[in-house]
Amino acid sequence: MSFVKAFLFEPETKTFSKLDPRTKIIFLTFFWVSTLLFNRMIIQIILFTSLVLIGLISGFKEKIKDMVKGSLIFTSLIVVINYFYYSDVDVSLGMGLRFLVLMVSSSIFFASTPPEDLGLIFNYFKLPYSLSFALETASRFIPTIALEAQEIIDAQRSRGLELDKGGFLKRIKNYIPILIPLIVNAVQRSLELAESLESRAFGASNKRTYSKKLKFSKLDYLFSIGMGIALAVMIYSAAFLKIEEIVTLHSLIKVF
Amino acid sequence: MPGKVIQVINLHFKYSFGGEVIKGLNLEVEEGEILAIIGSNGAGKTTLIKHLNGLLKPTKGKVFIYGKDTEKHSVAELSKIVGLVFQNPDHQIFAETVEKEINFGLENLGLDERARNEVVDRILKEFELEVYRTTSPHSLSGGEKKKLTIASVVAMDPKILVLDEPTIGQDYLQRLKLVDLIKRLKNEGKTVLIVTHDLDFLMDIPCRVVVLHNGIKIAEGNREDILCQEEILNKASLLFPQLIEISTKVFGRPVWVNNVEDLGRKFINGVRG
Repeated sequence: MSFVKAFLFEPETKTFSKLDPRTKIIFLTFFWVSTLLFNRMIIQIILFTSLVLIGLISGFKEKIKDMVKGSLIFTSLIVVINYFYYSDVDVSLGMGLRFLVLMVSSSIFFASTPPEDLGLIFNYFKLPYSLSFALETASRFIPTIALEAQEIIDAQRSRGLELDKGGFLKRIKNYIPILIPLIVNAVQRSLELAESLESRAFGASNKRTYSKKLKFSKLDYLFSIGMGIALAVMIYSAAFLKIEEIVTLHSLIKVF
Repeated sequence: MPGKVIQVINLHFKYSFGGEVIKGLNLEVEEGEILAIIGSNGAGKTTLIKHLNGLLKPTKGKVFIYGKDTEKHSVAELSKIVGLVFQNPDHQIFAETVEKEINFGLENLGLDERARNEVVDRILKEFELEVYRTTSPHSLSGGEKKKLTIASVVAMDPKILVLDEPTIGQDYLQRLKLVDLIKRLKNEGKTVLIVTHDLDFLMDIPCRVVVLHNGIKIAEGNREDILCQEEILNKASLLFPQLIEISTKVFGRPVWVNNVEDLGRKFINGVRG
């Protein structure tokens, strides 16, 4: 559950949350592109540390904690598999950290961006409204479905269901009474929502208006320019300086 | 001499994502008693009943069910004693047929096939669900779904039955049947807890009433007393039941009446002086 919780939008007003959604997209792009450019641990540590720092300053301590806690098993798995594949501690730990950077940056993005802002971003990128609305609505329903899943788990446990009982296959089977109501309810909800939308003239006009508009503030410009420069530096370092070949775990060990 | 089957001692509960929902609640329920828990939305009613089968563990305080500390027993163990029927039937039903839905709890209890079949046949008959035996529960109406969820928990034969908003989506006839069921369970010695906003429903069920507000018990007593106290009901965002509302208009103050005939009788006696 902590994994799901980390993605939920936090309505509390924080400075980072007040930023324009396009700025947050630049933030996300920086961390996603940078982390995918490098394989080794040192650069990933720098990226992860700066990400955590931004998160902590912005007040997302709990989200980071939830995400790291929720990703721990998967991260360990990535490290182990990569170690077997590359036989290189530096790279395997780097891969694990890369996964954490991807997850934590996404968590901060979704926790700070209200679903309607996501819709605005999709519209900004000229996605058809019906598609952007579908994506926005899907993200809007994540907390509802997470709460509903918990309620269904409670209802079935009250009837004597023990989720953690039995072997691997039995445990998977134990989840059938949870998944079926969850899926049925989700389908039912989507049908009802579609009817309700159509009843309120969804798609009736080609020229739709929006009550909220995207607007860049001074802080947005500052943050975006900063992130843009940082991204350019990362791309340059990866492509031309080959910084990863210079700063490796082995070279650092030698220095110290 | 009936003993105390539920003991809630200085219960405090706080969700990880919010403030304290229950603040120092004390409650005792005797065997064979019917207890109604009423209160406004967010008063802590559902949170309280989730403590009874161990779904939630107290942040502070203790909950004992037949002397068993809920913190020391699993939900699976406690669900043999406490049957909890959730508010939304769609959160419970999942099986392919009505028969299998009722069977689910019995399988969890470890009943053999013969015993299960006997119980299923009896319950389907009692709840008038026989015609739906092989029907998908998802295709039932809202009221029938609700009836099925109650039936599938009653089938497990718990000593304590907890009903969360049992009258939602039920028509008049189904409500009457629900009243009969609750009275029958009481006669069988079962303890029944009802969480509800529907005070008219309580007019038909002799019970003790507990009123919750913001996680605190603000009143407790016989329904005859509690349902006539406007101030307490208003504090819990509730209104008089219809009959009490009429009696208030007729007598100038809330007077307990069992039914319309009782109201008429009391009115005539009043006129005769």
